[in-house]
Amino acid sequence: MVVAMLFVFSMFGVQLVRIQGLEAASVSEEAFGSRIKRVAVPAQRGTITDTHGVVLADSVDRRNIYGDSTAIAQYATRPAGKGKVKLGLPGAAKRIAPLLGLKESDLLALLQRQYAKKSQFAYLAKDVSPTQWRAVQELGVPGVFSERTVRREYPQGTSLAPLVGWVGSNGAPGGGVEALEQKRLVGKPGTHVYERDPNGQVIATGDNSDIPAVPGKDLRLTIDNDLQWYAQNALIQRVTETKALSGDVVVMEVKTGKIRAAASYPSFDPNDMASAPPYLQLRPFDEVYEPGSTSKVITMAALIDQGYATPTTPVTVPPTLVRAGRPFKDSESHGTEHMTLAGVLAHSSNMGTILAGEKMPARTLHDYMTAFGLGRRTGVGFPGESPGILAAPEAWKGDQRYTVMFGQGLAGTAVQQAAVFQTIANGGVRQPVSLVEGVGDGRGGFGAPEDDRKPQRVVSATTASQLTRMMQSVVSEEGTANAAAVPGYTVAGKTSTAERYDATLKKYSGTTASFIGFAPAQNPELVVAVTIQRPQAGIYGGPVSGPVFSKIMSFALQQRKVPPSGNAPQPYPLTTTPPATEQK
Amino acid sequence: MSQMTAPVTTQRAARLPARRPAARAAAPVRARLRVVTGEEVRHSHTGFGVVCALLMAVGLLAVLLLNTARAEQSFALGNLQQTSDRLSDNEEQLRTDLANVQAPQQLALKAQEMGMVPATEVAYVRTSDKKVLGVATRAPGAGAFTVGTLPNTPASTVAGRAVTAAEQDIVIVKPTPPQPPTTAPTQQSGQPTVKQSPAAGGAASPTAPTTRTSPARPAVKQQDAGRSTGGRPATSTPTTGTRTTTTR
Repeated sequence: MVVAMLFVFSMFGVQLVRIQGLEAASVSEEAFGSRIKRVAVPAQRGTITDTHGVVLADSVDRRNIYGDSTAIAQYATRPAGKGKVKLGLPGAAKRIAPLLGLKESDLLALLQRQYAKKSQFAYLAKDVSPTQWRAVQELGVPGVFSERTVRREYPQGTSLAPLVGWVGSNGAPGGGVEALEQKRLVGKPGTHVYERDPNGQVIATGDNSDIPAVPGKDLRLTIDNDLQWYAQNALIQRVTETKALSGDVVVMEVKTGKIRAAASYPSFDPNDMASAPPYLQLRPFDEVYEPGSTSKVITMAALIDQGYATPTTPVTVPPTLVRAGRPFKDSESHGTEHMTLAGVLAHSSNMGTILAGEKMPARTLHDYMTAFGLGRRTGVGFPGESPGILAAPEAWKGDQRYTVMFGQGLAGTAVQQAAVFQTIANGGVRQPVSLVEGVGDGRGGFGAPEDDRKPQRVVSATTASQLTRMMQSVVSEEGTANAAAVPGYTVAGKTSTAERYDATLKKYSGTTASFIGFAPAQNPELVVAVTIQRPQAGIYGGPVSGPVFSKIMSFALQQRKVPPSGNAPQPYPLTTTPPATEQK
Repeated sequence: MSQMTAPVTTQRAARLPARRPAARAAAPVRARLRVVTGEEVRHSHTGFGVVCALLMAVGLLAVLLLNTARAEQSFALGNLQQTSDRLSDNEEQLRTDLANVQAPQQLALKAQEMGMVPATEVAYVRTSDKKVLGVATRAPGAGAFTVGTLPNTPASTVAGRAVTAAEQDIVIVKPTPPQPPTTAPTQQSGQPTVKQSPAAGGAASPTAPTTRTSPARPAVKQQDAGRSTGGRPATSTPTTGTRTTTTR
């Protein structure tokens, strides 16, 4: 008997030595492994704000609530003075549903379905606010859990959607600045490590370590949110009024090349991508079209800068003109007219532009076009940004040598066109186009983003000021765009009514009506470029896009507290008395 | 306990030899050795035991009190942490709501509702020579300005929530007015003047003062439907009270 007892106890002893001594490390490792839990801590995505700090895109914490129907069925309360009262699924549904914005009957049906299957996992609600989750938690219903998610919110809605872009439910950026600056915006997720008991309860005294998440950098755009909205709103109104296909507006600061607004319509609601239309791009950067007569400004700039002509050089424009085997006409038929170069621009005469421009070699014109930024990207790197289409002069076929002078046979984006006018408004110096003003340093401050692009002189200051004076006539009573005038300010600008190539019809159909200008002409602040595609009530750039320009420019000048222009413009004469010797 | 008694015995051992030489010097007559009775020793031992017991009791009590205090503090910490979390959640919520109602389109709608129109032109007075710069004419009447950038975001947030809910076959309480106009600007044709659309800008009609005095606007109602159920009560309630005073 004693021997047997001793034997049993010796066995215990051996086991003790084995577990505590020999295998201690591996056993404790195993136990630790079963207690430890690692949870990824999502990194906060950077906030995108406008130039004044107004939030354009922000990430907020949300919760997905899920439940274990078998545990929820055990839901019971102990009201004061009474014993345990079992509420079960109906009681839980009744109390949870109103907190989550659900219908009680639907929630109950879901829970009962799950309970019948003995399912221990079902989402009760997705994307609820932390405050809602807290309220649910306070009910003390067993088996109700939540997981953390992050939702991207866009308080400005449609007015900035194509510019700012959106973030998909998987966290991947879907376009716009969200995609452009993904590397800066996205942070580095961290890990939260803790020990928990078999019921999932955190062990307070256990190991509890964190690798903190590194939040993404905040971004400050050059956009002015108020101006952006105003531009978008004015554009929508005009596109709808003229029964147009689409439209875009670019507002650029003359001295810095910063884009203050880039409107694009039709737009979409970034908070509700389920209802979004197929086209989600930002038209000013991504849509390529033949610019038409606004390109005449480049031709004139080249002519004046190279000394081929002056603003008062007489140009005699016949009723029709044949070049490269085809007849050219102006938009309004006329007899032989005696214009100055300024008159050619003010009346937007195609024939006059050809007559003046053909004195200059094709290569020279092409060089100026390139210098003004046609045929290459702005360097902003906007997703889907197009360089436009500008063929080399050797490849210009047939009448293309002549059509490029007035902006057909080449194509570009609205931002490129706006940049041409920025260059002239800025005394001939082209500023790099920019969209991002500051990158957050994580301590509330902002630093300028890296940029190796430099300002470049394209035309001389004299040429620029002469062109400005010529363009003031465009907005005069005699010009093509008196609708674009801004009361109290001098405006220089140019209309365009281009034949529009319709990709769906595979032929030219309808027009691209645009107006690009800057103000005040003496000391320009802003360039506003308005482009409306395929308007059906009215087709000309002046009457269709001019009023939008006028509205947006008035608003912007008021907003920036720009003093009204004192002196009225002194235009060049637009016509000449018929000279004795006819100019070819 | 065995460790505690050990010093007692050594103490006693040390005391005996110390007494012995003194006794011998002072009184050589009584130089007889005597056996120390247990009573003398037991007496001092009991006192010491009491002290030990007291010390231990005090020690245990201290540990208990400290532990209690620590637990209490950790509860307080937990509570404060929770309060802090709740407050920061609320703050985030309010900030989001504020950003939504601050959006220019919302302000424009509100302004319209109050019968305001944008000033298209402004003139300035130069202080140096009191000269009026620029031109200013009467602002155009109501209706000249429309807000076309809707859907407004709170409404579409509700719509978004409905979509999410539909995916998991849960139906959110339907907002009262039908949905179509909220998606208007995303369609190519669009509604020309969406300011009258019932879904988002229902209250935006400056021409109908009666709708203003009615207690609940469709838009607010709709948001509330989404919000009160969605635990986001803050947004629209503060503004409703002040609206009845608008005149034009």
